[in-house]
Amino acid sequence: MKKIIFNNIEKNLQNSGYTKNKSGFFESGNSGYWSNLDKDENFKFIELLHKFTPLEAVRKFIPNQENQIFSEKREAALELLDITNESICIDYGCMWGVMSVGMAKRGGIVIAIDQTEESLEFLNARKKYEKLNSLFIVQDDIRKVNLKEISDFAVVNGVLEWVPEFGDVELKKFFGKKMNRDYPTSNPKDVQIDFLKRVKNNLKDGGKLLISIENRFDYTQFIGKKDPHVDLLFTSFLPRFLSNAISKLILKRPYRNYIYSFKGLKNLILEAGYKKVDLYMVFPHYHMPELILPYNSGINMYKKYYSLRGVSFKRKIVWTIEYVLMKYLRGKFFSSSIIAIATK
Amino acid sequence: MKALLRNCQHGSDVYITMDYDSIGSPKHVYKSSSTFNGVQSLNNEIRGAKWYSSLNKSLLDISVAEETEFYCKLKSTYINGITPLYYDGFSKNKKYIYLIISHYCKVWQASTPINELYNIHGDLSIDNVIFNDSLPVIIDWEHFNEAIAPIGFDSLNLIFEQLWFDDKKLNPDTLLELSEMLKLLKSKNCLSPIFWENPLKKTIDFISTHHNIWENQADKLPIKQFSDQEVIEIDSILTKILNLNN
Repeated sequence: MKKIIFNNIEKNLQNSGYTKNKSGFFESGNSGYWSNLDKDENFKFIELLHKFTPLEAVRKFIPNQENQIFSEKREAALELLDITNESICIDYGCMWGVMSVGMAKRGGIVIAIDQTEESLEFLNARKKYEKLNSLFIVQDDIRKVNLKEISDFAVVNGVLEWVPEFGDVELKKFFGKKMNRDYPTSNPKDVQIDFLKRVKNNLKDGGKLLISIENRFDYTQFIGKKDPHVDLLFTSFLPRFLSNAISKLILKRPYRNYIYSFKGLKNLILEAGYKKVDLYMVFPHYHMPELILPYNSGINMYKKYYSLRGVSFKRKIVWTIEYVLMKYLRGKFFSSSIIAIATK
Repeated sequence: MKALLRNCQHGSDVYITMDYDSIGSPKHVYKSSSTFNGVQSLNNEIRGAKWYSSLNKSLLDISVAEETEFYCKLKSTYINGITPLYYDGFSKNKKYIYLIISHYCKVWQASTPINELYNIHGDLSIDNVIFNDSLPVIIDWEHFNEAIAPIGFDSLNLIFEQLWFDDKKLNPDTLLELSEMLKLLKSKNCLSPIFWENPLKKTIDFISTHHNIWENQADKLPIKQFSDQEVIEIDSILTKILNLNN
């Protein structure tokens, strides 16, 4: 049965205009660049994959990324979905593929989509090394993917806020750095809604979309942590026009990496036409979640998930604030990250 | 709705999630993993839980919900009850420890050893026991191993874990109370003569020589945190009391 589904997906990809390249992944002709690594670094990193296993290459070149790429803690949000053998899943903006691999291990047949060729080459090497045969690797602009009603599940993990960003992003040259470039006149929120509509069109009826994103009103933003996408103070929670003015003044570009409150995210998803949205609080962050609790009824399940032994004084203060805020003041509105599960 | 309550904590590779009915009451507990070691642990868990349920009519009801080449998910019915706080320590938790020891004796006495070696739970910590109307249910069988230790190992691990968390761990009254528990185990033939001398050191030694059961979690076990001096002091008192009647 799985083989039939597998063949159907391959046929579907080809009918949708993708061509299989010599590395075995599917190309649309749309490409771009978004990576934590600069282009030069990425070139050297990919070269290592000819001599070493993916894990060895990471350990040699970007050891500080090993957990981000390989840790099973990163995939924990997938436990909220009931991925079973033969579920068809799309990972939008898969990058190095931590969620794609997680879904494939759970039995899903996974279409991993990203615009950055180097990231896909890494994922392709990992696919081959770990024999993850149910992984289709696709290079495309995620805003343009058209695979009508193919998937049971969709994952948009740390990606929605980057959807309104146009042009290449070499993160180290972008994050908190001046960059004067042209943007379309469209409102970032509208770009996000259009993208969510496209994701919906690619889901089967009753299919589920998982979105992980920072909370606009994350309590840490109020005690000195900078905006996680542009490295500016307060821009995530200030009114958009003010954030835009600050960004233009300091970074010479508009503020486009919109993140949302719980209510704001729910409204955005509903506006894109989904039937139902379940919201979750995530602690300490969706990158490495320790607790994922239902927003409506889960704050009483909040518990200490860390040890204060051996951590910095600053970290102790932050965690103590979180504990008091969540345990005693029930301040769920201020939790660090949000996961939303939307049903088509 | 679901909730993720543990994400590969304390060196484990296992996720723990729960699901809830429409009014927010917990229905099921799920344990899952996508790593080789984690899947092995879950295989141990299901073998252990089945063994336990075969000897004791308990509320523990575990089944495999999903299984692939790289992934395993176990499902069990939520057990309503209380779990004592492990960090309260021996003195505050002794009522619960007595109940667990009695339960241990009942279950392990019903089992059949091989060459005097018994199955072990491997992590009989007080927070791995749920009290449902004061009836203990032992959960979390990830470190289950068959025919590997003399009888009494799990109970000793529990008692000494709780002693380690006690503020007055070297207080004579605390140790006297503890020795009463050991005598109870002994009277029910649930403490192997091997443990009658230097029980703390022997329990620690067993963990050290069977590192593969706990792997990277072995050195984090509370019982391994006693200093050498504490081990000597505690063992000298317990050995004396345990052998008085011989």
